[in-house]
Amino acid sequence: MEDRPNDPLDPEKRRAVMQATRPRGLPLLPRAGQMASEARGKHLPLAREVRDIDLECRPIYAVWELTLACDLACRHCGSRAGASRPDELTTAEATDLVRQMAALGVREVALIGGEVYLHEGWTEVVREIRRAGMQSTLVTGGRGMTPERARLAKEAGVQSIAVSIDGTEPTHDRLRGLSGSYAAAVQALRNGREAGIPVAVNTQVNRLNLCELPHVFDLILDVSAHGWQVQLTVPVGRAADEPDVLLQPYDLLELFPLLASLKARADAARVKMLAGNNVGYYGPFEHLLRSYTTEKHADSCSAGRSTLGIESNGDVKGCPSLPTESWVGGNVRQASLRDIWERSSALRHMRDRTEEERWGYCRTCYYGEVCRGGCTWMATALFGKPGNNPYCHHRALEMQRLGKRERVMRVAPAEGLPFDRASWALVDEDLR
Amino acid sequence: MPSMVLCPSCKRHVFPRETSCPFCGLAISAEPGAPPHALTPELSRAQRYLVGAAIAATVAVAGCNNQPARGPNDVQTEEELARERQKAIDESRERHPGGGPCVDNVCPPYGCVFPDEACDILRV
Repeated sequence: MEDRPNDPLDPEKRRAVMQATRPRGLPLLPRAGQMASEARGKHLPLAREVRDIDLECRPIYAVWELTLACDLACRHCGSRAGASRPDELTTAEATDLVRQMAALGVREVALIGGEVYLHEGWTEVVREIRRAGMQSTLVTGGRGMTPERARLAKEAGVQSIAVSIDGTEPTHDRLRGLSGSYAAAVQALRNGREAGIPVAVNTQVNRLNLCELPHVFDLILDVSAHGWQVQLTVPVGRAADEPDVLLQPYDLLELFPLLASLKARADAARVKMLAGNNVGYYGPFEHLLRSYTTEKHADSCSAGRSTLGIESNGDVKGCPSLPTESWVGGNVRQASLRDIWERSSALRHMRDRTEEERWGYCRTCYYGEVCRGGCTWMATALFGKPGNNPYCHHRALEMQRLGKRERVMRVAPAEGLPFDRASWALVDEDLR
Repeated sequence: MPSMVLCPSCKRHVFPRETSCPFCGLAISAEPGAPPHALTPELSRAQRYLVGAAIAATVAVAGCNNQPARGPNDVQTEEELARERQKAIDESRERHPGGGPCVDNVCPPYGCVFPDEACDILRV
């Protein structure tokens, strides 16, 4: 294992990427009626019958975009957050949804945005989550997590705040698109701690920050964070606008030894380091990176099986990051959460998967029957459908063994909507 | 989901149905009744003899015991399972003296890492 990875960008390329201007202007206001309204009816009508499998699968974990309003406009943001959606749930609707979640068996609700604290009823929603007996966590970019807001979060019952930290200060500020955002995020961690809330760090990994992960870990120790969640930057939303920032599949050969090294340090420091669902899969460090799971290795995608995603207008998906267009199963203004969970085809998708869904390399992969193509979010972002994911350590190792590597190449840009995707081609090439 | 086991040599996960690790070639025990997660290196003839002798000695000692030997397919009782679970929780507490149990917990790797002290209700 090594702790000093090679930078996937040479100095000249790094300088160019760091200084690149935004490929699209701001603000990127989604137009009313343009976002999920078409998708909302796509998977209706709901099935008449509820099957046993629909009752067995319960949403243990809900990730809820409370508002799309944001005080940052991060350059990798999948939901292109900034302005609120034109039809977001009111506080009364949101608290009703909380009660529906609890009745359905949800145990933890992670509030995300946008920025959660920009929703007028965010503390009331947190209180309702706690009153309903569920656990409440909150994810923030940290720009406006002031001591006062941290105190409000504590009073409302937030049990952990995760702040996004994406590398050293220059890299973080470049990715977040705002000078001073790193300083604000670090201060948010300290404000959370001072308010008495356990704090954690979330990091999305790309070519700009891969070699800076040890720095992030040092910060985690410095602020006494209890957890660190790492996941790959996925080419949806604004991240699809900047292909040079994204990891290439062969960069995983550099990343995984580093993650394993950092995991050992995290274990020693009693920091709970979690590899996100798109950090895949089954390489020689799998048992270390997923030591927190019962099986000590990744499972297939949990969207619609144990995970629930809610968009701020009440659209329901199996995972909060899945593209709106094809993965929204219904809206809580039109049907109950239980009916959407149990009877919509979009939510049922992961319960009904067969081997036929796997394609490309994943079709014949040794791990296919367990992994099932890994993260649906990543696969769908790249190819528009699940079942084939080149961002896989096992796959990169096998390619290397054959003297090959895979490279993703953007062939058409994204439209410019929340959770939209560009078109990508996968290129097989000889190792250089 | 099919359960996988870890090859002790190359640290790759393999299916229990394998007779050898597909990545490094390490032989996998396929003896009837063997624990499903056992991965053993291929033994030399002398090593096999020694292992056989050790098993024979163990069986002879067990034969003198009033307690029936547990067969490989015996099912654990609820009480035994509860004891094992409590033991795992206690070990977890020892490892994390500041926190509570975090055994078999669901810590979904999305959104926010949840602190140990409240993990106990997040089990499936």
